[in-house]
Amino acid sequence: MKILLVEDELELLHSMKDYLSMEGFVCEIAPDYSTASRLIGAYEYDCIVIDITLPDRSGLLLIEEIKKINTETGVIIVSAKNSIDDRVFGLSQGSDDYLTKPFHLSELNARLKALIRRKYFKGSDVIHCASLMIDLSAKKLFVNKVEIILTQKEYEILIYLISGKEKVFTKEAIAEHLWGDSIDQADSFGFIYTHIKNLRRKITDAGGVDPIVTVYGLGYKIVCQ
Amino acid sequence: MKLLNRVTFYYLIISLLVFSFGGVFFYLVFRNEVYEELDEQIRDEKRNLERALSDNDSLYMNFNGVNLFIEAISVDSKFKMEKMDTLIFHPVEGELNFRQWRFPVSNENRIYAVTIRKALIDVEDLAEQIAYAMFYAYLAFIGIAILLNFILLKQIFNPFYMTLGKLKKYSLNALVPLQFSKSNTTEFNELNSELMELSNRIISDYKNIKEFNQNASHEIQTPLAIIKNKLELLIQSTDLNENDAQLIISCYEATHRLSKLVQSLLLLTKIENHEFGTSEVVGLFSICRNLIEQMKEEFELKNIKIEYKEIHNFTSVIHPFLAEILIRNLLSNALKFTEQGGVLKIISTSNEFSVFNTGKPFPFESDMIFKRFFYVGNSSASQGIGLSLVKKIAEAFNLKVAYSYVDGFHHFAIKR
Repeated sequence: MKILLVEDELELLHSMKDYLSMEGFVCEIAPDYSTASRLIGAYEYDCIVIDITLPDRSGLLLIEEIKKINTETGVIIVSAKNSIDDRVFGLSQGSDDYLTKPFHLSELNARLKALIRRKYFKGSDVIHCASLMIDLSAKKLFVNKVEIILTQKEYEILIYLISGKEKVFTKEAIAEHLWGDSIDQADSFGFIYTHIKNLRRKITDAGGVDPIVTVYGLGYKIVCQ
Repeated sequence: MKLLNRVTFYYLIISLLVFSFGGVFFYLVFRNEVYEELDEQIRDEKRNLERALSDNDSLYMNFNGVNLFIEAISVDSKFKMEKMDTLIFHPVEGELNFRQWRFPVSNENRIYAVTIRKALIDVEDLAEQIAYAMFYAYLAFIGIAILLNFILLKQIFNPFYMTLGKLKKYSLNALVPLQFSKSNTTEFNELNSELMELSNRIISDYKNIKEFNQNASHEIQTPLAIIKNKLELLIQSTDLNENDAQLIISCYEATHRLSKLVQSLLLLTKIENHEFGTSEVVGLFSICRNLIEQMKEEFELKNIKIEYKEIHNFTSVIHPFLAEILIRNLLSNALKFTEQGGVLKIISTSNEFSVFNTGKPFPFESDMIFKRFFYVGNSSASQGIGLSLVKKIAEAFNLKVAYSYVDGFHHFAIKR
């Protein structure tokens, strides 16, 4: 999968590139509108991540340009937290998703993967991980081919963790993914702990191997072996 | 006390003193005048009598009446002139006050004691009459004073009240300096021009501070995001040992907290500056149901029973994004402070949207709740900013937030 990252803050741009490259994406980068515009004209991308506030022109104009060339290209807008109007406008312009700054790299990765799945794997879409099998279109988990009933949050955590295999997901990133700002940070860690405990129990009760690894006090990751 | 009432009050007090002292003074002067007049008459009569007696005019010798009587006394008895007030009984009018002189008169061979009396005006009557007169004069004066105050002072103080009215309505957020019309009174003009200058200064300071806050917050955001992302990359490194991990966690958590804080502050400033665009009619109850749906499992984990009661949809013109933040913070607060197995009640009427939750009473004054950076315990992961956001958002859209603790329930109400 080939993606283009457009962001004027170079450090952020490189962080995104590093993380997504580890996840197997082929990443190209553009620090401003004109570079991005040139790259779009010359190459084809499966997905483009655009920061709206660019030094030379608004990133929103870039969406128009992309859609003219290839309507299939996925677009994720990155905008400052409080520019709600930009966000609404961007979505109406044909972007597929938006992220507010500052975001967790793991969140960007998960959104990209979800977008790519939506765009390119229409129909059945299944993820295997050791004894687990997740049917994404039906939103179901099977352990050793037996369906396990998960709560919505348990399912969301599992999908989120599995979007970055062997990547560490911090508690903060998981909390934001699940609830946004809805729950007080202090409480959310307790809830995450409980949800993950229940998820693990359900998997092991069904005779599966628990793929979730606790990484010190940092967070969790999934190891499929 | 209002200015006009105060002025009137002092008028009345001072004039009351003036009129009372005036009355007493008037009474004393008048009384003095009466005595002098009577004494003068008696003195005249005395002179006539003395002359007559020394001429041995026997006519007087036999004249005895109520007001004048003459008696012969022994030569040896010595008495001096006596001046006094005396009471004489009158068969019709009762006791009457008289001025009386009693003095000796002598001719060659005899000494006579002469008593002359003149009817006095009743002194008590006099005092009473004067008191009445003064009282009516005082009443008239009060009437005039009040009338004057309300006509004249209202006229004179009109510019003052105009200025006061403008100050009351003045809001810094509009960023418009105060404007006053000219008056004919120098002091009021001075007051107005000082106020105008003051408002100009405040506005420019206010603008500077706002700008600084916003710029600072924005500028802090980017480096924070960089730190956060780099740490996230570092976390992915495979050869982390536990000690390294602990160090990274501390950095990561602190950065995350700081970044959340800056975001909240930015949001607060934006709300205070009314920078949110078009509002629309929003029903808080439906927003609340949606948000609870997102947090449903967490309420279930704490065994919190949720009750809804929608009598009327509480609608308000508010920015939908901010309405969501408002409700979200109320719910987050309820989730945090409801104990295991507690109850959460959402009640919506046409005038009030209420969130009730069971829980222990807060160990502090209830008006501290909406203060920024005030939080229970020293939970470092809480920002203590949620409820102050609720208040700010509500105020920005002319809603009120009230808190009370009744029968074991914390009650937050959004009212019109």
